[in-house]
Amino acid sequence: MLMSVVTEVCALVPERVRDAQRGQSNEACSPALECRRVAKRYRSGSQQVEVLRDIDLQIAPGEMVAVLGYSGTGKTTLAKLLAGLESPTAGQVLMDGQPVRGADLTRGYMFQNYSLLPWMTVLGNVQLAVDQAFPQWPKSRRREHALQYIEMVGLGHAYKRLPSELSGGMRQRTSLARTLSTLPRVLILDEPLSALDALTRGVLQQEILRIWSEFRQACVLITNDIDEAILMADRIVPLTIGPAATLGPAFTVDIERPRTARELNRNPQYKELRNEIVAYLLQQRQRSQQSQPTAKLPRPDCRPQSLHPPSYAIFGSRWPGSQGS
Amino acid sequence: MRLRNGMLRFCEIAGLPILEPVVRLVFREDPRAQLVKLMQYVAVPAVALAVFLVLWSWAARVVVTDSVQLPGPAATWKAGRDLFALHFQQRQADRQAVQQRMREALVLVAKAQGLRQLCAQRPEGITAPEKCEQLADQLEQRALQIANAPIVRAPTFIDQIVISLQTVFFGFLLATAIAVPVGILCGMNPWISAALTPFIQLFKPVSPLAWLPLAAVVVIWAYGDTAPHQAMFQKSFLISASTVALCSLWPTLVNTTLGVASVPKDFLNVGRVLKLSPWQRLVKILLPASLPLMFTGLRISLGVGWMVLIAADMLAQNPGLGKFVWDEFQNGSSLTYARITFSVLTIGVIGLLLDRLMVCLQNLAAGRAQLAT
Repeated sequence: MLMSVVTEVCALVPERVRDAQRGQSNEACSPALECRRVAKRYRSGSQQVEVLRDIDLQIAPGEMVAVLGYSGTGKTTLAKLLAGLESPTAGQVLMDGQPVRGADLTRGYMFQNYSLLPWMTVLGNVQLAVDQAFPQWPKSRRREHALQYIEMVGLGHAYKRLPSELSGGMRQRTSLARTLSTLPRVLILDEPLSALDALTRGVLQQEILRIWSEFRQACVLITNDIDEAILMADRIVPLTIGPAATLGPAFTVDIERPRTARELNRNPQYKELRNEIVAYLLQQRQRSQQSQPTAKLPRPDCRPQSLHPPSYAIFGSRWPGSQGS
Repeated sequence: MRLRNGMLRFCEIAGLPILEPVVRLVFREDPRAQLVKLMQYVAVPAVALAVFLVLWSWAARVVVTDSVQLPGPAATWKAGRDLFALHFQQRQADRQAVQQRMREALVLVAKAQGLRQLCAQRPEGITAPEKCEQLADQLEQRALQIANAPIVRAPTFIDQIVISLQTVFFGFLLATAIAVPVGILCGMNPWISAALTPFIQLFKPVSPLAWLPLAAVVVIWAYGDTAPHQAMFQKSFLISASTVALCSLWPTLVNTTLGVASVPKDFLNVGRVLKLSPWQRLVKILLPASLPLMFTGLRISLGVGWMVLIAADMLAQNPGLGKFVWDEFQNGSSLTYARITFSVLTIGVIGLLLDRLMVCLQNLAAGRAQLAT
């Protein structure tokens, strides 16, 4: 069902299909967002840290790809590279075949920690984005548009509140409204739900899926939760353990949408896929532990001569060398 | 309930925790706890004040030489009351003087009009009608002069307080107008910051007494060609105010720089993702995020400004509280020390009120920008 959507979108844009035929991509058409041999290094010289190496990733229009990895492997760095908030040290990030230069409003970026401006209300935060995206609209229309998206994420009753007056889930809903209200062509969700409690997370997963299925942007979901990845994504790409992390083999999620957590639990396909991914990640961890040199020092070849301390240390009033009084 | 919350919020923002137990008592919340708090905020300071007054009186009886004596609380209080009474007497006298002048002026105007009528009614009896008109004009001009002439007299204590406040606010506004933009530039751009940091470090610790002669040179240069009655401000006022500005510049500057430079990276990233222009980034993100620190700086600045002002007034002979203290000291009358003690207390009270004002603003700014996380 998904593939039919993708091919439909692609059929409208013939040059994309041409590109796809030329490229090595096995997708049905050219990617909306693409990383070509991207590497990111921080600092230089002997202190250099290589966070990412040889990242090759293609996201087709309408596809949701989950990047799954342990914490600290460079997931957020990858998200920032895709958004244009960081520039790659080597390689290229391309959107619709054009190199990405800096962040812009065509790629909606949802921050891990909401990053709402605390001195603005929910409406203020969303409208700031709308004002930027559609300066040509009259003011009343921009306000209406912002309110419509606030309504969509279920915060219609709270649009006047400040972020400090919202729960974590509501903050993330606001952030989602802000991201979607600019009508981005690509969504980059950087661990959007990792700061929330499990119950809220489950609700918001469904919410994001519901909204996303209306728009069907190409979407990158950065996550450290295997279940979330399987529930939401069409394809799961694991990130190997850093330093110099890179992408592992992709797992395609062939479970029909709409998916719910409850149904997934009974789905044998889900269990199999989950086991495969867990096995891969565990294997990764083991490999990284083996490859890291453990700092084991050889034991010195000597033994203490006696375990009995000399008696003056306990009873004697004078230490050797001290002047007795 | 709404009223209660509003009043509690007012106490919090106004920096008046002393009122909080009163509000809670009125709304009958846990009276015991409120009474304990009242003890803490009212009774204990009152006892401390009583102890202080006793010690002061004792010191006033001990610190006595042949010629002078440390004034006690009673003498100080009396001196203060006299100063206020003097002010109101002076006001009364001023009003009378003005009335007297107005009367004179009116009489002159009436004379001029009468002269004109006389000339108009009996033109045949007047030998020189143009002279008649001239005389009437002269009378009118004289009336105008009398009515508009400023009353020249020594400023009273309250006048001096007002002038001091004007000077300190003028200097403070001058300092803010310089420090906030420069601080924002320094915070936004590390290159500008690098260029200015040595100057900030160098000039920050300089005392007002050292600045004052230089400020005087600049003011005198700027006013070189201006006649005294044309000038918008008096020279001494400008010298005092610019010294205040030079000294109270630094806390605001340093805090603004720090505030702008330490805006959370996430907020800046929001600005980048939304493609805000530099101006919007400043207005929508940098300024609101750095307001709390900026206001902390402003509060310190105003405190420093008030402290510096007294010294500057003394040196620049600007008619303010500093000059009052200095003049009294030079006078050496029997009232001198009581008056000086009273002005010391006045300076303290005004400084306290200014600080409270800034605390209010600071709390308001912090409340607006309170962080979500």
